[in-house]
Amino acid sequence: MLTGLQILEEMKKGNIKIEPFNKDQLNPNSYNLTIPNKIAYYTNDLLDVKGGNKIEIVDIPEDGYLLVPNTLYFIGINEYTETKNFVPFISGRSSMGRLGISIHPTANMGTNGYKGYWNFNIWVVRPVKIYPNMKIGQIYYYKAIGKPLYHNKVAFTTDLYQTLKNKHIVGDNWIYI
Amino acid sequence: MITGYEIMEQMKKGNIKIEPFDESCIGPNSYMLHLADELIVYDEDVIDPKKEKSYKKITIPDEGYVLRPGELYLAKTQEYTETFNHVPILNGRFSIAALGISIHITAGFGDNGFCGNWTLEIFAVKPVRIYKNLRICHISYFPTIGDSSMKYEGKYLGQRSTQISKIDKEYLEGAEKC
Repeated sequence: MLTGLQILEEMKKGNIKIEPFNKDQLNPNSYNLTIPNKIAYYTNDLLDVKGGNKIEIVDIPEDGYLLVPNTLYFIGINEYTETKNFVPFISGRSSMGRLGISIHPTANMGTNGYKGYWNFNIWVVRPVKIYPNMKIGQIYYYKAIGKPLYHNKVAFTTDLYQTLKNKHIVGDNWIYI
Repeated sequence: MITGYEIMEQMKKGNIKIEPFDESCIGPNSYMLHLADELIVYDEDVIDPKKEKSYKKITIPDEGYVLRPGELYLAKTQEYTETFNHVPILNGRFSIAALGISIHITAGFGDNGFCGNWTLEIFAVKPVRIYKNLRICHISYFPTIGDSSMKYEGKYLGQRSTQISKIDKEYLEGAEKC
């Protein structure tokens, strides 16, 4: 796993991009990620893996938004990232875990070559509030071993974001599904 | 990730400390940690990260304690650990996970330089009885890549008891550390 200082080095080499970047968010072996002021959640009682699931997008006001158990929320993050030659992972921060906030049911691994905005899938154990710009998660990096295999679909999330934006489904603080 | 033998090598070099240490708890690529008898639950209807939170402590009796779904239990490991030049990571044991017990909600890994007893974020899918001294999880180690001089100086450094989230301190003091 890369140290925080090595994340800085790889940014200089062009292997890692995090925008906007704020050195205060750098940890010994990760970088803290922040949330915008919009969040979405499923409105279906029963989700269907074949699709047709409905979401509602709501604002996170300055005085906080209450997350409740048994609901699955989506939130984009403020930071755009690109990663080459490393495998990016996301995780919640310890201070969030101690509040019972999970930011991913399972899939926290990204792909070597991924370009875009991460999406957190949030669920909570107990009712808990969140606030805009909260440092809720962190990104960390493992070295990729072997010849890199890059997908053609690397800009998938940003493309989807653009589609949603064009349809006025999302604003500058975006959500994708 | 380093092997069990390498964990013992790194202990000799001073990069890893696990106290108390019992060689029978070493696995092929991890070390098994034990549950202490101290649990904490929040005593709030709604948890507000910006505010101080009231909570209550529970001591796990000899006959065990029943975890209920929908509740968040903070617990601690009996072991005090120190880690340098490696990233420590906690994972549940299969035998415990197969009972629907999760031992961390999000951040399974610690920081290079973290010293302390680990706080576990426990929740249960079904009611389940747990006991003190239970071998509850594994600790494993990834070597760090790059300059590792930036050490953990965060809010939980040196914790010996179960610690609730100190996220409110960031809002009070504007501190930026994890």
